[in-house]
Amino acid sequence: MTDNILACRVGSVELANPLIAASGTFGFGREAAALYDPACWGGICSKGLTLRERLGNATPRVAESACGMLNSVGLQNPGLAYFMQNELPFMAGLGPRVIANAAGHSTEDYLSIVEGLAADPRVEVIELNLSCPNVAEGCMSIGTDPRQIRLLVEQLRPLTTKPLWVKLTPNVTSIATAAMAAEAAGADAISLVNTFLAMRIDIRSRRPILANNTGGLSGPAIKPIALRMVHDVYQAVKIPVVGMGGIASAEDVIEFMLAGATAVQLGTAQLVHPYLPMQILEELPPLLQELGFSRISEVTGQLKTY
Amino acid sequence: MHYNGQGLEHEAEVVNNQQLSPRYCRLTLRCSSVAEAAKPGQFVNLLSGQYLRRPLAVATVDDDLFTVGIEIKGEGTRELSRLAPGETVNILGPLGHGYTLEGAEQLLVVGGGTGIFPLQHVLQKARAAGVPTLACFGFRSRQESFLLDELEEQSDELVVTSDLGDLGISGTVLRGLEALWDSGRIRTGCRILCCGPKPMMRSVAAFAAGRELACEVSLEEHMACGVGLCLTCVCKTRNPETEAGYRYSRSCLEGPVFAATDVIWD
Repeated sequence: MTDNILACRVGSVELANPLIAASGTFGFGREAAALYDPACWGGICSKGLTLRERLGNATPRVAESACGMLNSVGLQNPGLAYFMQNELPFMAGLGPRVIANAAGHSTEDYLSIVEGLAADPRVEVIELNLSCPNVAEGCMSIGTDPRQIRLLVEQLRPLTTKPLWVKLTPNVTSIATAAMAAEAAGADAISLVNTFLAMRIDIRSRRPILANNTGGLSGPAIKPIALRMVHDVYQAVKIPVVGMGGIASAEDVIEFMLAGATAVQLGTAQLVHPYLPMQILEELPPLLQELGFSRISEVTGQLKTY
Repeated sequence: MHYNGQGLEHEAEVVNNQQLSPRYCRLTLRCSSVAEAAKPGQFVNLLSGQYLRRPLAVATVDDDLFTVGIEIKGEGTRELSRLAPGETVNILGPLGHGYTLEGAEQLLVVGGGTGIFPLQHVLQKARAAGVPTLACFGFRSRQESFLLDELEEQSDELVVTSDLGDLGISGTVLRGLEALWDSGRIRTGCRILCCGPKPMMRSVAAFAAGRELACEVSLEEHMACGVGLCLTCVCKTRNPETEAGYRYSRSCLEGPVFAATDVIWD
């Protein structure tokens, strides 16, 4: 029995608290480590890893919108081998659970990446990125088709005994169906949502603001939709749900956990307020007390629908 | 591992807000940690009522005060330009990799628009270090020029150019640079530090390369976090390790200041 009231678990994965740095908003932890001690996080998701280095998309890669932003970074990352040799040792030394986000362009890619990650004990969780909207192949093109989700996860499942989380795209008609496909194929948890495919236009040049034409919308603008989707998925599957989408406060964390999340990911908000995780962790205990919970793990799924 | 608390985030008090020209203003902010630590070319990221912060270069520094110049471009900068003395603004900084002042026998700062502000900081620090300076600043017109007296005072020698030809030398900063070069006032061992619109920096970089002068440029890209997390504010820099011959570097962390020879101008 621990006296850490923020402790929680996603399946077999124990977290010191429910805050996980979302993939693609935290690099491999080095930049945050220059600002504060990243040990405060429950977990850290790596930037999406491809088999080989990806230089990423052309610029502009970011556009602002009401209560949020669009990005089209395009999975800029140094590739799996570089990560394993140079970034993983650093990430593993930070303290929080190490979650490696795997982003393939093809089935073969995913097989190689998961095989590589599975071989290293320092990788504690593999999060399959079936949801990045900013690359032409793999990722979201798989995540929008439940049949492809199932086929892919079924092939990857035997490669590792590590927890396999599947990160879903919200750009689908039924996210519950996508989550059920992942569960049926042996996923250990579902993380959702990635960004919403979106666009901004410069009315003077008549061109999209993003060089990629479209990008993924994130931030408080998407929170209510993400919340509804977490609720949908929680009702549809038995495996744990890791919720994200516009979380920016301790209240938001509780909202997502009431909807069914066992842990949450924080991304865009900490781009604007890098010290936010510490503030949320300070605010959570008194908020739990005020709401009548003795520990955060009690909150999951306590929504009383009409 | 060092733990910094909320080390780089500050509530800065607005001490003054000065209109410089129709489109430009300058805020004086009180924040001793930024004023003490900021190096020329570094920036602060200011919160406005919009979602993302707005990156602004540190211009001048005086005791626990520093200034930032604002070009009013949209809602965020408009809101910042309306801050009144006594109000506070949430800032992150100082951020980024600044200019190299060390090891130059002479510094030639070249800029236009908001690019003038970080170069003021260069001039200030160079004078304190006893490094001789030349300055060449370009404006669109006399009406849109600003801070001329201050810039004159801060630089050992100032050349001003204007596109409309009603102030200083007629034409772009390149005409000013040519005039300085032809008169022999640019010494060997001079380093050019440039900040301005991309076409200006590109032509200044070419000017420097043609005369074997060291040159650093400060790049500005659409930015979200300003601390290296999001990978959005990148620019192409030469890199022989990749097949493509380049990588995308973050203008907020590896930059905003780069050696001009490292930059790929698309």
